[in-house]
Order: sequence, then structure tokens, then C-alpha cells
Amino acid sequence: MVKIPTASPSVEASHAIPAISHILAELRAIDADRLAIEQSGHSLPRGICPATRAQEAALSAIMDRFYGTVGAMTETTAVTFGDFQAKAEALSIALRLLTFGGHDPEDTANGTLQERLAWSLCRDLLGMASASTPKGA
Amino acid sequence: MAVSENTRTLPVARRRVFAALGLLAATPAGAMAGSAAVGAPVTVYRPEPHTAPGIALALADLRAAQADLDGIQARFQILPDDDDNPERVAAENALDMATGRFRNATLDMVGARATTFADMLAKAEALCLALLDGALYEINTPPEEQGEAHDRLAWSLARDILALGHLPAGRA
Repeated sequence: MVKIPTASPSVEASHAIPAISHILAELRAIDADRLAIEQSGHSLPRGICPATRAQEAALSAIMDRFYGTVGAMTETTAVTFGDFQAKAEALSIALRLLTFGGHDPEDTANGTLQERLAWSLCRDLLGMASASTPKGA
Repeated sequence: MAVSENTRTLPVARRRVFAALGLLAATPAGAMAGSAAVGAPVTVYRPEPHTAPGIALALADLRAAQADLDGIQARFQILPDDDDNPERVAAENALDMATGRFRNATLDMVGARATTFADMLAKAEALCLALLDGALYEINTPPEEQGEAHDRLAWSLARDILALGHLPAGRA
């Protein structure tokens, strides 16, 4: 019997404005759930069976949640650097899931020009965050 | 080589979007133009000094290529629909060249690494231009309501960065 994971608890970061922080936490939880569901599928038998149907249904529900959460993040307005970082992380999760999958986003063969530029901006925003964090923090 | 002044030639819809973002104020006033082998003017913008050199050059080239693309597209609207018309052939060549220039400048921006807020602003503007040209551009529909989920989120992030960059000092 394959156990399909239920929703992960979301943990909010404190550095962004409440709405952005909450939505990012939800997106992280969705991403973790999706990964767990996909990994649980590796042990499923080939062909259609109740377990594979359950996995497909779970993935479909996850993606519905995902689209809704990305939409909610789109409607927010970032006004601090922490907000930008949160939004950049959300965008990088969205790009990884919707565009790049298991492919290397830096590889010029993957994604459209716009998607790669968006990824590049996210990478730099998130990189600036880690560069400015004191060692040991 | 003909040289002429060229400021913005953005179509009205795009001009409105960028004016809302405060981007037009950031456009360099002094622009130079050269001419291409195809006979169409090629816009050259001076890089702004406040960003990293690679990013500054890429942004200046991107803005200039965009101005050329807008100008060429405007020319197409008044040319007769005749593939043998030499003016149309020249415009098509110029369009190919400007498109290639826009793409190369965007690629340069993809490869560049932003390390300051000014760099982020430049990259956000490049992303807005790329999204408007590719994934999102549809007249009379706000970019927030177009494209796929990640395109709309990318627009939203770039919009916020640009808006913050144009707030009066002390507001950010």
C-alpha cells in the first residue's frame, strides 16, 4: 500500500510582509508535497491501478493548489528587499515546476528567453540574500 | 552612414505600460543613431553609469533594439502588402536584424550577474521588455492578466522592483 502524503505544514518566514510570507510558506509546502507524491510513485506498479489513480488525483489536486497560490503571489506588491526575495523564491519554484522540470535552467537549450531571464533575476536576488547573510547565521 | 537623433518610438500601449512603471523617466535623453547595412536606422543608447558594465551595456542595447523594433513595425503598417516591394524587403531585413539584436542583448542580460539594486533594476526592466515582447504583449490587456502563471509572476516581480526603484528617496 503506497501512502500518499497529506498536506505539509507551512512555516512562515518573518522577513517579508504577512501576505507574501504566508503565500511563500504555502508554496514551499506544496512543493514539498508534490515531491513526496512523485517519489512515492516510484514504488508503484506499472499500469493503471487504484494506487496510480490515487497518485494522479493527488498530483492534480496539488497542481490546482499550486496555480492558485502562484496567482495569489502575483497579486501581491513587494515593497521591501525581503519581499523581493520571497517573490523571487516563489518564482523560482514556479519556473522549476512549470518550465525546467529536471533540466538545468542555466543551460541555453532549456526554456524560452523570457523564462531564462526570469530565472537569472531570481538567482541573483536570492544570491544577494545569501551573500549579505553573516556567516553562521 | 547616416546619423540622427532618436528618442523613444514606443507604441501607445507600450508607452502607457512603461509610463505607469515610471520607466520613461529612466530612459536616456541623449540617444544616437547610426545606419545599418540594410539601410534602416539603428538606434544606439548610451549605457547608464550606475549599473555593472555588462548589464549597463546589455540594457542600453536592449532599449535601442526595442526602439528600432517599434519603428520598423510602424513602417510595416504603411507599406503596401507586396513581397517584391524593395521597401518591404528592406523593412523585413531590418526587422530580422533588430530582432536578433534584441535577442542577443537579452541573452547577455541572462548571463550577467546582478550584485547591486541598480543591477536588479536593469535586469527587471530587461525582463519587462522581454515579457512584453514574447509572453505577455497584448494591447489593452494588463500584463497581470496575460500569459502563464510563471510569466505573470515574473511580470509582477519585475514591476515591483521597478516601482521601488522609482520611488522618491527615503520611501523605499
